[in-house]
Amino acid sequence: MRKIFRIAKLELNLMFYSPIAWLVLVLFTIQTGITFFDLLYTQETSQQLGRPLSVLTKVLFAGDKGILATVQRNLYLYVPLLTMGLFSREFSSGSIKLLVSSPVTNVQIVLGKYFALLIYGLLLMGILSLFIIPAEIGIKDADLPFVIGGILGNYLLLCVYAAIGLFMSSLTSYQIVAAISTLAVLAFLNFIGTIGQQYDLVREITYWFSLNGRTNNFVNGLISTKDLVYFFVIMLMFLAFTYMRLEFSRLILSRSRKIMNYLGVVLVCVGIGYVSSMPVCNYYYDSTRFKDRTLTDTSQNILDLMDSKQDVEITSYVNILHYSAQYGTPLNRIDDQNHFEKYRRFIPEMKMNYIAYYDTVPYNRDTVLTLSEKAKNAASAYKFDFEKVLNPNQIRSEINLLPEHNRLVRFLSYNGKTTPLRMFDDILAYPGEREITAAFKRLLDDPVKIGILSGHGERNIQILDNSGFKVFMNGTNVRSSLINQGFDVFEVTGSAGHKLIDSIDVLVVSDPVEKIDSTVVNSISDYLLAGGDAIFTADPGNENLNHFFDLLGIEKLEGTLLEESEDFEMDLIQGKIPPVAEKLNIKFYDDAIVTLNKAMGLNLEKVQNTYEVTPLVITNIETVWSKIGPFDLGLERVKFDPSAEQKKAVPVIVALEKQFENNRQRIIVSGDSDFLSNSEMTRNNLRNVNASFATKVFSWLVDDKFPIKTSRPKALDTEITINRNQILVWKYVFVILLPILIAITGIYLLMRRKRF
Amino acid sequence: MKHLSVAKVESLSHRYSKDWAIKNINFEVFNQRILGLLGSNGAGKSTTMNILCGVISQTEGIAWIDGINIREQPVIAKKQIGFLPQKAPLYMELTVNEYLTYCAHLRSIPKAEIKNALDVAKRKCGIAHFSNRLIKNLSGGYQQRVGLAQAIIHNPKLVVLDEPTNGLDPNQILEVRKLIKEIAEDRAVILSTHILSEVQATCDDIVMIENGQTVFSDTLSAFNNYIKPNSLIMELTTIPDESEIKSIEGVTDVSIINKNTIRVFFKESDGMTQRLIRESVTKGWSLNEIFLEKASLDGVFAQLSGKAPQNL
Repeated sequence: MRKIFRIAKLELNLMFYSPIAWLVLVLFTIQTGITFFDLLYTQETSQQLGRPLSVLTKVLFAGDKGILATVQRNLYLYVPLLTMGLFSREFSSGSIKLLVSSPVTNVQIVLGKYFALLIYGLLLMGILSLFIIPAEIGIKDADLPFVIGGILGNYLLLCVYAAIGLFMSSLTSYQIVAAISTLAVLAFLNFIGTIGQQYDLVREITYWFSLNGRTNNFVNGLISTKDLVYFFVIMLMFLAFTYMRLEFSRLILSRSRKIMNYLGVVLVCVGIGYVSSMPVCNYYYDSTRFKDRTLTDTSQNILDLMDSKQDVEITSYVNILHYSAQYGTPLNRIDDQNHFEKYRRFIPEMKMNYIAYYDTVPYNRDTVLTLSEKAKNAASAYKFDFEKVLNPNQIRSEINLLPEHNRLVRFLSYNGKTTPLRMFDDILAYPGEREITAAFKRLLDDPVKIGILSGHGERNIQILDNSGFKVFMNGTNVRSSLINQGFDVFEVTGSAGHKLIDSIDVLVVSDPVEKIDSTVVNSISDYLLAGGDAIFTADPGNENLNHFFDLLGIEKLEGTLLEESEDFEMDLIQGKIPPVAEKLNIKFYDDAIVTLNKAMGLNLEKVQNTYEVTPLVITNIETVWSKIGPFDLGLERVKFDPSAEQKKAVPVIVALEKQFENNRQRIIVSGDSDFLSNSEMTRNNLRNVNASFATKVFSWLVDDKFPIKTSRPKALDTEITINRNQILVWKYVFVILLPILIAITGIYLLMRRKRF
Repeated sequence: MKHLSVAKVESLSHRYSKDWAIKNINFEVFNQRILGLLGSNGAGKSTTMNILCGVISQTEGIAWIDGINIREQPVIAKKQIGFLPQKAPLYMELTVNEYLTYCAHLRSIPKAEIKNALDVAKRKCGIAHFSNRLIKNLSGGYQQRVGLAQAIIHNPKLVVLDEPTNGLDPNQILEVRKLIKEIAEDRAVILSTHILSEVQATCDDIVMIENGQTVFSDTLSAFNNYIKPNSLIMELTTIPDESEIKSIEGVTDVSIINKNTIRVFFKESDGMTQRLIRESVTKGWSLNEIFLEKASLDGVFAQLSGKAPQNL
C-alpha cells in the first residue's frame, strides 16, 4: 500500500510539475463557471419577467445544459490529456525500468498510477462541488442530494475514462498516440450500443457495454446497481488489461495465449454485466427530493397488491406496415423496454414479448405492391426477420387487432386478465405512469364501467364528428381518453331485460334527438332511484330529457346563452369554474375556461332541497346573457338588448350529490353537451381546459377510482434569492478570480522549480 | 580471500519469438568483484541483464540473486538488485533529492533510514552539492551519477550496470569508472560493455557473449592472456625472401600485405621485436616501421566467435 501511495504521489507531482494539470484545472473551472452562471442569469431574467421557473436544481445541474450534464459530455476531452503520459512517457524515457527492476509488483504500479488520476479527479469534482455554495445561497431550497448524486456519477465516469486512458497509455511509447487512441476507444464505447441491435443476444451484450447515457441516470437522480456495476466492471476490466499488458512484457507468451487472456477478462466482465443488468438483480436509489425517478406511492401501492408478479406479461403486437412499427423494431427494443423501466424496478419478473405481424392499415398510399411485398420491404427496412413476422391470417387467428386499427398495441396480462396498453398520437407517444398504472389497476380491480345511452340520436362515441364524444371517451390513441385512463366505455340501450344498476357504474345520457321510449325511461328512472351515478346533458330546446330533469328537480332557464365576443361565434360560451368547485377537487388556474356551444342555464332552486348542489361551470356576468326566442346567427346580427335582456352569471354544469344508503349518489347535469364534444376537446384557437375538466368530473363521479393520480408535490426550488448583480459577482469569482488563483499558484510553482 | 557468491545464472536461455536470444548462459558473480559482460551489439548482454533484474522472465534456466530465485520471488530478489539500464531511468522534472527519495521508497528502505541512505549514495556518487537541482538541468555525466546513485541507494548486494559510460566524454568516463570501482568495494557489480578497454580498466572477471552464447568466462588476467598479440607488422623498403624471415627464432608464419609491408606471426612475444630489428639491421632490409598488432575487440570477437556455433 505504501508503494502504491508513493507511485501515486510521484505521478501527481509529475502532473503538477508540468503545465497540463494546471491548464486542465483552469479550463475546467472557467467552462463550468460560465455554464452555471449563464444558466442562472437566464433563469433570473425569467423570474424578473414573472415567468414561472422550473425546478432550478435540475435546470442548473442536470437536464441538457446543466453543469453536470455539460461536464459529462466534455469529460472525454479532458481525460486523455491527463492519462496519455502515464505509461508512454515512462516507456519513451526508459524510466519504466526503474519501476520494473524495483521490488514492486505490477499491481502496485497500475494501482499507483490509477490512484493518482483518481485523486486528480477528486480535484475536478471538488471544483464542481464548489457550485453548491452559490446554489445554496442563490436558490431557495436547492436539492443537494440530487446534486451530489450527479457529481458521483460524473466521478464514476471519470474513473472509467481514466482506466481506459491508463490502458491506452500502456500500449505505446508515444503520448499523442495514447491520447488519440483513448478518444477512439471512448467513441467506440459510446457507439457500441448501436451494434447488432437486431439480434436478440448480441443486443443485450453490446448495449450493456455502451457508455452512452449511463451517467445521465446519475445526473438526473437515479442511482442503480446496474449502472454502478457497469462502471466498476469496465474500470476493473481496463485495469486488468493494463496489468496484463505489463505482465506480458515480462513474460514472453504466444500471441494466441495473450489474446485468450484478454478475451477471458472480457468474458468475465460480460458475464458480470449480464447478470447485473437483469432486472431481478437491480437495486435503485432515487436522489431527487420527491423521488421523481420512482413510481408514485399510488402506483407502488397498486403493484403491491399483485401476489404473483412472475405472471405479469406485456405482449406488444407490432404491425410492421404501420408507422408505429418504429417503436417496436428490434433496433429500438432496449429503448422501448426502458419506457417500462420504472415498473420493472418493482416487477423485475415482468416478461416483455414482441410479436411482429403485418396486416392492412387504414391509409394506404401505395397501391402497386401487394401487402406481403410491402411487408417484406418494411421488414428489411426495420430489420425484422421476415420469417418470424406473422401474416394477416396468422395474426387474425391469434387476436383481433382491428379495434386497435392494426397499429402497435400492447396487452398487459396478469392472472388470466388482459387489458390494452396503447401508444398515443402525441409528442410523448408512450404511455406514462397514469396510463400504465391504470392498466395494472384494471387487471387487479374491475374497471369502472361507463354506459353511454344510445339508440335515440344521442352523441355517439364511435365516429369523429364535431358533436360526438369519441375523442374524450373512446379515442384509442388519445391519451386523455377515458378508455386509456382505466374506464370501460360502451353503449347501452336501457331496454328491459337487465338492470342498469348492475351493469354500469355511470350512465351518460347526452342530448337524445329522438324521444326516449317509456321502457327505457323507466329503466333509467329505476337506475336513478337505486342510487346510480349519471350525467345528463341537454342542449337548448331538447325536451327529451325533461322527465329526468323533473325527477332530479332541475329547471331549465329559458333561451340560449350568448356571449359577446369579437373573435368567436356568439353561441360559444367561455364558462368559468367557480371556486366552490374545489370541494369536488375540480380546481384550475383563475381564468381557466370551459368552452360550451349552444348552452342553456340551469335553475337550481328546487334541486337544492334533495341534493347538495355544486355549480361547476358558470357564465361570465359581464358578457353572457340569455337570448329568448328563435334566432339564426348565420342569417341575422344578434345584439344584446339592455332594455329587455340582462347579463348574469348562470350555472350551466352542476354537480348533485346525496347520501344513498351506504353510497353517495353523484349526478352531473349540464345545459350543454358540447363541452365533451370532439370539436371542443380538440379546439386550438382558445386555451380551454375541457379535457382535464371532464376528466376531473369523471374522477369525482367514480370517487377517484380512476384516473390514477400520479401528481407529485410541487418543487420547492423554484425561486432565485439573489439579484443579477450578485449573480455577476459570483460569476466573476468562478470564471475569473478562481482560475486566476489556480493559474498563479501553478505559475509560481513551475517558475520556482525552473530555478532549481 | 574467498569472495561470496552474490548472483548465479544456470543454463539461462531466452527467446523472444522463435529464435533464441541467449542460450545456455552460465556465470557467477562474487562480492567485491566486478564482472564484465562483454559482447558486440545484439549479442544478448541486455537480455541477460534484464532477466537478472527481473525486467523480463527467462524461457529456461534459473537466475539466483543472493540465493533467491528471481522468477519465483521477484519482489524479494529485487530488493538486492540495483539496476542502471543503458538509458538512466530518470524523471527529468524532479530534483535529485525528490528522485532519490522516490527510489528509496520503491526499494523498501524504512522511512527513518531514507535520509541517511540518500546522503551516502549522493556522497559516493559525488552529487551531494546538486541535491536540489532539477535532474534535467544536470550534465550528462552527472545525470549518469544520479542513475548510479539510484542503483546503490538501497545498498543492494548486486549492482547491474548496462553500458554505464555510453555517451560520456573521456573525463566523465574516467570518473564513472572510478566510481564503479568504489561501488564494488562492498558489493558485486555486473557491467556490460562492448568496449574492450573498459573491461580491461574496470573488471575482475569477464563473461563474453556472442550470438547468445558464452564464448569466454574467466578472470581478467586469463582474458588478457587469451588475447595476447601474436603478430606484428613490419614496413620495409625491400622485402626479403619469406624463408629468410621464417628462419628467425619464434616466427611461425609470414604473410605479405603489400610490396613494403608484411605481417609476421609468432608464438611468444618476449624479445620478438628486438630479434626482428636486429635481423633487419644485420641483413639491410631498411626497416621503416615495426609495431605489435594489438588485438582489437573485433579481432577478439572474431577470434572467440569462432568458438560460438553460428546457428542457434
